[in-house]
Amino acid sequence: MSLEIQLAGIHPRSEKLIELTRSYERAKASWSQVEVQLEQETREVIKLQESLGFKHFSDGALGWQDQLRPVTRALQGVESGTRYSRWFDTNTFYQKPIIVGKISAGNIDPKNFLRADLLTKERDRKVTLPGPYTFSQLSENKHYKNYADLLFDIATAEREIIRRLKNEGVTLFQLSEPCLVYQPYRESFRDQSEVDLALGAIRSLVKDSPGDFVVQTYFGDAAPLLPALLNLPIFGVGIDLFETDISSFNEQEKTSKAFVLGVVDSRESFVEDANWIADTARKFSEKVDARQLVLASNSDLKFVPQGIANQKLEALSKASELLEGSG
Amino acid sequence: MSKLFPVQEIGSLAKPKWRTKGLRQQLSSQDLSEAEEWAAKLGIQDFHDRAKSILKTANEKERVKAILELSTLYGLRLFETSGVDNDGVGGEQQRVEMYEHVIKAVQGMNLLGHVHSFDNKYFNKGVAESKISRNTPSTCQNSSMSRNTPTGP
Repeated sequence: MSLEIQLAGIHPRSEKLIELTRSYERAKASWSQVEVQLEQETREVIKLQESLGFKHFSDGALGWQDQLRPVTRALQGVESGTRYSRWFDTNTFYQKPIIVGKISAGNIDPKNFLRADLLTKERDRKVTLPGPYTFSQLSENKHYKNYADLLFDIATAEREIIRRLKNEGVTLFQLSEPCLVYQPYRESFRDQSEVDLALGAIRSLVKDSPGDFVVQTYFGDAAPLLPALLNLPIFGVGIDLFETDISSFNEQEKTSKAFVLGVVDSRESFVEDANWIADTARKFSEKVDARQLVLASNSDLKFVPQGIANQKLEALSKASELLEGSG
Repeated sequence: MSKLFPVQEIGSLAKPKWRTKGLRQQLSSQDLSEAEEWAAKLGIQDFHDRAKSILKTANEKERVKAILELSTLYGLRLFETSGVDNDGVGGEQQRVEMYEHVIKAVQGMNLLGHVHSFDNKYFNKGVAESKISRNTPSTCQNSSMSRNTPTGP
């Protein structure tokens, strides 16, 4: 079984970049100054991944204003007003997409998703996108009478985004689907038919190149859905180890899928000990015989300050060394 | 008799531009044009005297104090004219950010650094590092400024 570590979403901005973006808002700095700093920090995030032994490289998505925004901006039939909603149970927010017409791919600028110009050299590139189910659940629908039509139109439009990003050299797409395991503010929890629809939308999205996708669940227990997730024609499944009851997994589960283990908590400032991470991953691998293990945070590390996020990545790297040393 | 369904404010009001800008730098009369417009709507009788003193003073502390008072007055008047049953502290106009304001007043808690909230907005993440207790009052200044602000006509 092979092992690697990956970023699982948006990396935090530095205090310097934060101050500069605030100055920009106050008309005390120009956007070009912000861009220079963004570029420098993106290079630093890439360098950090190099030094920690990453195999798939992300640009850290430092310019993303929230987890949905670049997708929202790339779709026709979707507007965003001034309404912001809470991002699950964090103190962060996202601009709520408003579905006002039939959804299709609009003007897709790959630069809004990935700084491919900074991810130089021959290396595998990874991009994190909201999955179609989560995107639909976190949007306000003012157009579709039939939810399935909305869901599958999002999936079709995202396929086009993915096609464009493949042209930029992206080889791994993380589809974040927290709503599959956690649904805030809903009167009724999803039933099986809704799960089937959600998984169907993912299938339609990945059908051209199933080996390039990981479906990442977080902020909820993935155990009840695990058999269905493992049945998806994708490369891997991501689970939040802080929420998932792995004791309910079948004994000696064997799968041809990769498992992305969300083994450091992106909502918690405490930095996990490398020995504990390695031990937890080892126990998991004794229970689940997976094709590959990926050590990662359970979600975007943007929920903690950058210094802490970097320490968490260092802990993951050290844990990976410990595991490889003992393997 | 207390109301069965009292209407209450529950937190911060958005800060007017002149309040945000005025805390960092001297304002111009143009900066206060929006405040003037709202003064008429909210019945702020002494707006021009207050505006004059804000524009005239070269003392930063005095300017900041006068702007916070005026901003609090607007918050209170807005609540009064809207008919809410409690006016609170005028929409927390004295606070920079609601969590940071409280955390700074708590012993045993520390601020770790800024976290991206949305767009170019951030909050300073607090963490409890030891047993927590009140270090300094967190709302007395707000309350006293609200208490000392004259009520509406």
